[in-house]
Amino acid sequence: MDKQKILVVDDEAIIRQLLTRSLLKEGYEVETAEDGNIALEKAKKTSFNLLITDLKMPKKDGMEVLKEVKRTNPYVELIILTGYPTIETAVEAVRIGAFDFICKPFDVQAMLTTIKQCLEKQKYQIKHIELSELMTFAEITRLITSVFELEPLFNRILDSALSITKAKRGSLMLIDPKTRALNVKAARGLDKNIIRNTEINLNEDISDKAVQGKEQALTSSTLNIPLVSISSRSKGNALGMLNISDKVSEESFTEREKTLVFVLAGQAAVAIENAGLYLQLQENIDGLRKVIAQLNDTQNQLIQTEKLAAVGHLAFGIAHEIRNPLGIILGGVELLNNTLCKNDNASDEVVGKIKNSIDRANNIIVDLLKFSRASKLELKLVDLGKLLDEAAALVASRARLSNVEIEKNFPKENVRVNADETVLRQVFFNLYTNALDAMPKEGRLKLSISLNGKNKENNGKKENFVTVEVADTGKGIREEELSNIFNPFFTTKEPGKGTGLGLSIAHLILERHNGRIDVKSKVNEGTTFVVKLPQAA
Amino acid sequence: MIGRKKILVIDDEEDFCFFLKKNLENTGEFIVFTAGTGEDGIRLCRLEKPDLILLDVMMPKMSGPDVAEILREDTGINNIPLIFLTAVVTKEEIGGAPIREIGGQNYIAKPIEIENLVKTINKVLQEKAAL
Ligand SMILES: Nc1ncnc2c1ncn2[C@@H]1O[C@H](COP(=O)(O)OP(=O)(O)O)[C@@H](O)[C@H]1O
Ligand SMILES: [Mg+2]
Repeated sequence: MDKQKILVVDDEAIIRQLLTRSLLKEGYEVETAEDGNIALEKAKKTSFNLLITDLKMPKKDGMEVLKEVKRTNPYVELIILTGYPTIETAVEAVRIGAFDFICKPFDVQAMLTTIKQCLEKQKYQIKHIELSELMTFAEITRLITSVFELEPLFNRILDSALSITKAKRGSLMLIDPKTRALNVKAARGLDKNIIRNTEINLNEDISDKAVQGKEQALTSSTLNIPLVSISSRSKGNALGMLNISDKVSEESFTEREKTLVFVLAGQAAVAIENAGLYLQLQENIDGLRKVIAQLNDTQNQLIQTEKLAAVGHLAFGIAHEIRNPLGIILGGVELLNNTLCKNDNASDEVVGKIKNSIDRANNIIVDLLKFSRASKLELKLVDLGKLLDEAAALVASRARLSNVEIEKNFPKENVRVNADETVLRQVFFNLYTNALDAMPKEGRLKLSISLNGKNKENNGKKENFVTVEVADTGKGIREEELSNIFNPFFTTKEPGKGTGLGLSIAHLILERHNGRIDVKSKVNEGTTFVVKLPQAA
Repeated sequence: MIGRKKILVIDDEEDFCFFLKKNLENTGEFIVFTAGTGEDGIRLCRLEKPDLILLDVMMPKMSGPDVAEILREDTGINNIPLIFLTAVVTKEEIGGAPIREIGGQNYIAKPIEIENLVKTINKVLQEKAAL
């Protein structure tokens, strides 16, 4: 262990010699000063453990020397030696934290005992301070490494550095990897405008040296500490710097504070690096989540399409097997009505009912047949706005009857898609019909086309998609029904009113056009069907 | 009987043919012959030289289009108008009309009400007469 260092300040040479001799014998390192100025000079070079000083001296009063030395070396112990003790000086000595107040002439042995006690006390006190400092420091590092968001992290690092060094002002700057300039990321006690406009080019300024040389650039009242990560990833390059100035008490930074803040800077750099990695990871995870969601979505669409295609397959055979007997029944009923029960009102009614039922069965077959049609598309360039209009014309009179206003919001330019006109018109006709069914008394049917650019990846290359929205202000769809509406034969309408095939057909048709259909709905507020189609080049 | 148009129905559904014949003849405008297979239909066609043929598309052995092809090649009967009857073309595809031209040929979707069928037959006959 280092020898403990004592500075003896007294204008009387005899006292200096007496003390020096005794102290050297005890194993201390001793220096002397005959006046206050010399004492201060020496205290600047060496950090003494103990200062033994006379009070009444020429040039500088002992009390002044004490105060000044304490400023740079707060752990220094003091013993006051005086030939003119007064109550005032005694009180002042206590206030300043002197260990003892000894009157001349003094007993050397007693003095040595006092010195020993004093240094012993100091040793424990320093240990204690160091320990508690380390604990705060450990706590600070723990806090820093637990923050993963960059902005709070920057602020916390700066606040920690300020609290460790007991300083008022400071900033944290990071090097922009592209521009190689230092940007302020966090600041305390600095003018907002200065912060905003501060962008230090790395070829100027003292911060330059600090960053590039990885050394502390020091002015007496400012600390510029490079943020160099201690992890192996960073290869010792500085990420930026930590600038601290203005101690609360106007002392300069102690060696210990410098060391601590330097170590803190190392930890902070690691934390910043980690936070960056964490964000990157987070982004990757988010990206992955999106991909998984997309996959699920695609899978669902595929399953749906599979189901529908199977229906389409069956439809052809079913149509033949059922519509032929329907044709026979219809022929038979008409024959009965026209020959056997001619002009009989009662039988007219019966025949009417039978015909209705034939119609009902036939409608299902007709809808089913559309599935098989959807697999053999005749594609050509189609003006989407025109197609939506044509489909709207088919429901216009019905809309008028039920007080439904049709509102259109199409872009000025023509929007073209590659589509089978007949089949695609069917899709929108189905959507409009459903909307009207949901608004029996009154409402608004809003049709809109929008070009929202590259929003779907297709085999790695982006495609432009057109979005058509068919929005109604009808009764809405209940949550538990929402997942079923695209299933074949799912209907909430009265028997004979709905086949439950309209949306399934729409789904299949859009799938076959490399598009898709989605729904948003709120009960009692309305439903919006969102159709996306690839825009024709 | 004079003035009545001769209609030939070729369809493998025996009951369908039966009711169709009765219903069409009940209108007093037509005389109807029926055949249950393509071969019988062709033979009857050559024999009777009808004014119009109603031809089912899906039949076992010889299909409707096969029958049509043979009739087209037969100079004596190749100008008789022909309407296909089908259970697998939908009215909606036809745009709501009961008849549709596909590849230059007329189609009617089954089932069809007799009233509509009569209208369609008369329309085709008028078009033929106008040529
Ligand atoms: N615009 C809408 N508003 C409220 N419900 C709707 C709407 N569109 C579809 N639905 C619901 O989805 C079901 C399935 O629709 P669809 O497949 O077209 O068959 P259908 O109309 O024959 O019932 C409907 O029965 C209805 O419950
Ligand atoms: Mg519907």
